[in-house]
Amino acid sequence: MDDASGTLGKSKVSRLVNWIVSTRVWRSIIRHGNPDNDLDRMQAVFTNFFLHIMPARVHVHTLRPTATLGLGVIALFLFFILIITGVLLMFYYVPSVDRAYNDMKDLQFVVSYGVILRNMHRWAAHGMVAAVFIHMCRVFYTGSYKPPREFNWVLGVVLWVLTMFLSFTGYLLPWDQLAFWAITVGSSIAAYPPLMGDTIRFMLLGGQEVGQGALLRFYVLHVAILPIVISMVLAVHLWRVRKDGGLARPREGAGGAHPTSAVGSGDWDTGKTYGLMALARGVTPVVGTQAPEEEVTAWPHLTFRLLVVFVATLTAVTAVSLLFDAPLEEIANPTHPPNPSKAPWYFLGLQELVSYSALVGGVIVPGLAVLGIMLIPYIDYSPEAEGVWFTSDRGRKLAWKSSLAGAVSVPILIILNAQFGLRTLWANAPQIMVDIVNPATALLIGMAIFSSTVVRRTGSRRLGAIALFSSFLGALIVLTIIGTFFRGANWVFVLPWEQTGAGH
Amino acid sequence: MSKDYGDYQLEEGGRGEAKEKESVSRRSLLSIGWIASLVSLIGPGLANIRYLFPNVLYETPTAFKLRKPAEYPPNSISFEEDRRLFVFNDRHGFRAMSAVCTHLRCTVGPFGPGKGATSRCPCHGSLFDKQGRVLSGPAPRSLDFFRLTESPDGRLQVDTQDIVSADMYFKV
Amino acid sequence: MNSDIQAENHALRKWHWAFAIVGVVAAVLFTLSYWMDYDREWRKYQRNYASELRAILSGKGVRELPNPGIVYVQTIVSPTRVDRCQMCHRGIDDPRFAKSPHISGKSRC
Ligand code: HEM
Ligand code: FES
Repeated sequence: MDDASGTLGKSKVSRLVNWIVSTRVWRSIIRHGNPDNDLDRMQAVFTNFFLHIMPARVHVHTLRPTATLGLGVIALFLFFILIITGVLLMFYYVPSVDRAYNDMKDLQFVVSYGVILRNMHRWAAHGMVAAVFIHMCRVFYTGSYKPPREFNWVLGVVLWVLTMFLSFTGYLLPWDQLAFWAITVGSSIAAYPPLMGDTIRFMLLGGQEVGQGALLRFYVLHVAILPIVISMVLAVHLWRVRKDGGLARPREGAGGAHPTSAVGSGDWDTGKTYGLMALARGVTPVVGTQAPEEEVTAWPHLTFRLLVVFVATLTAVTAVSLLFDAPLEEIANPTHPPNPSKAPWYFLGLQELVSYSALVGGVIVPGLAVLGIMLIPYIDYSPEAEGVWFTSDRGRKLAWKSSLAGAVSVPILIILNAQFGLRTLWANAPQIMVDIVNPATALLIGMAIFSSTVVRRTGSRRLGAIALFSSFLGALIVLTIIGTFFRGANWVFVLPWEQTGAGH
Repeated sequence: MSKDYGDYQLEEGGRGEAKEKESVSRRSLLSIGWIASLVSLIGPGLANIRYLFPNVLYETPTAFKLRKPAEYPPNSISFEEDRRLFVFNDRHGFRAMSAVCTHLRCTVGPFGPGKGATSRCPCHGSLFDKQGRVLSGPAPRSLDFFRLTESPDGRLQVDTQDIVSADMYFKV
Repeated sequence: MNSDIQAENHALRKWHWAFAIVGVVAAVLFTLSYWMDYDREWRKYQRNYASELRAILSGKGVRELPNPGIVYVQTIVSPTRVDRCQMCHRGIDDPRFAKSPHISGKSRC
């Protein structure tokens, strides 16, 4: 009896569903059939605006978690979360020095769900800075920047810089002590480039100091200009992933032709097309080497994973937001800097370098680092083992050794500088000498010599790139740790548990 | 097979044998996942709608003080511009009438001199008499009258949330 | 059939598990977040205030005890500044509460 009515109910529901999906209106919105066969699955991805950025079929290698660690999509989902929470925060936040801080307090204490949204926005922002950086590391170590993906790497570096700038501009908005002094310190670095420095700082702040002008400028950059620019660059970035033939992956079989060699060479001229647009002869460089047998439909193999990663990202952000409140200190007080005044953590490595020489540490090193990182694919374009972590065993060992070398050399240089630094030996050395002889410069020169030696010894530019990138990474991590945990009042060396100032 | 290679349907095709191994079916994993995920997506969506309703407002309070009764000349209609209301002082006493049009909340115009004076709303031409009644125009109902009291420092006091009838007078 | 694709189909099953687990955790966390947001500290103080007020009035032959709702209490200082002492310290200006353990001591704000 029960059973009968159960099936009756079910069949009624499914008849209703069938009727709905067969209406003219439904078919005008969803153009494909139920994705229960490969054709409709590919149609689902192909005809859907939100999914069409994905290929209709993906290679199984691309789906392995170890291939990408999902970092690009995690960064993307954090960006989505930031947009949603950020737009909601805009409903209460007024970018005025008289109101901003009170609006923060209101969000914290009297607006329903305000504190959780604020926390989510703050922690997702930090998470995005981290995710983007680690995404860059994964792309580097899997050698995924090699032709034809050189330019997408450059776009990635642009996204990285924009992401940090987006986070930095948001940092001022609460208008508390932490915000005010972090931006005062951070924007002072902008004044150091020779000739242009003061002009840049003046333009950025809309005044000589951090005040109403700066708050409004940072606000406009933070809620309008940077998100729009990032969205546009991101669109190109993702589009290029597709056009470059999907994610980089190891070539099948030993001695396979280099992917680009198939372009226009006509050796894939079987006239066979399969799927929908999974293959369109000769348009993308990597097409020729795709072995159809290694592919599955993106729906559900890729779409489902994306769904899970999205829910997981949201869960992680919510969990952190429940555990830790975003900091909100006393209202900004331009006459009383907290001691120490620290920039956001992702700039503390820089701030450490800046403490030796603002010009070298704040302008030349970061400038060269960004430029150098951008140029990697134009220096190392060897078609060696793309999509393989560290290229080879040798590469893996080199990566570990060089990052260790970079990490260790930082404290050594700092100690040397404290003992035999230029100013300790020659108290009134001219500034130009200090700019030339200091740990930051030493680090830079050391890395350059080290990596060029690796290239000479091994004859492999890839290994040279690994040496350079890894020593940079090791040094950056240690510098950031020192800046965060080992610098106290007056930027004096302290042990982490002796820290007094707050900083995030 | 040639069309459906690499098809995860195969997994379902092989269900008969697979099922014995799988303690929890694919269908129930998916439905748990979907239900829970929808809760965690629609939930915050609803919470965010709640977020849009502020708990505290920075508006002027609804209760406020006016001038002292003696400052309103006898047999006069005074317009309190900031508060958007009229104060009538006639032989029966004081009354406070809203100047907010009941049509679409424009501020109605001043009353002319004389007994049958009227007030016209500039926006869509509703016409009101001194009892607040609508004589013509689109306004759907009469203007409101507010309760008047005297504050401890001897000034008239109004609460715009306390609406009274048009024949309720405050006598000093 | 290709062995990589078979492996992929097995992997998908793990993702189904991940979906169910992550989904449930997300739902629990959301519920928790909503509760934590609702159950603010000041609500406790206002509940104390309400029960004290009832205690004060109950001996005095008041027939219908007031039920002071839990509300946001604010005093507007200027168009942009408000004072919310009374959200936690309700009754601070009420002489009947002068001896209240919930008010005295921490009343400065
Ligand atoms: C706003 C920040 C960024 C977002 C949202 C983003 C997003 C993505 C996504 C979704 C992918 C697909 C593969 C994956 O998930 O790993 C991808 C691939 C890629 N990204 Fe990014 N990315 C960002 C920044 C960067 C940066 C900083 C770099 C490097 C400097 C970079 C270089 C690349 C390259 C070269 C690929 C292709 C990798 C391959 O073929 O394996 N991206 N990006
Ligand atoms: S608002 Fe007064 S008539 Fe329309």
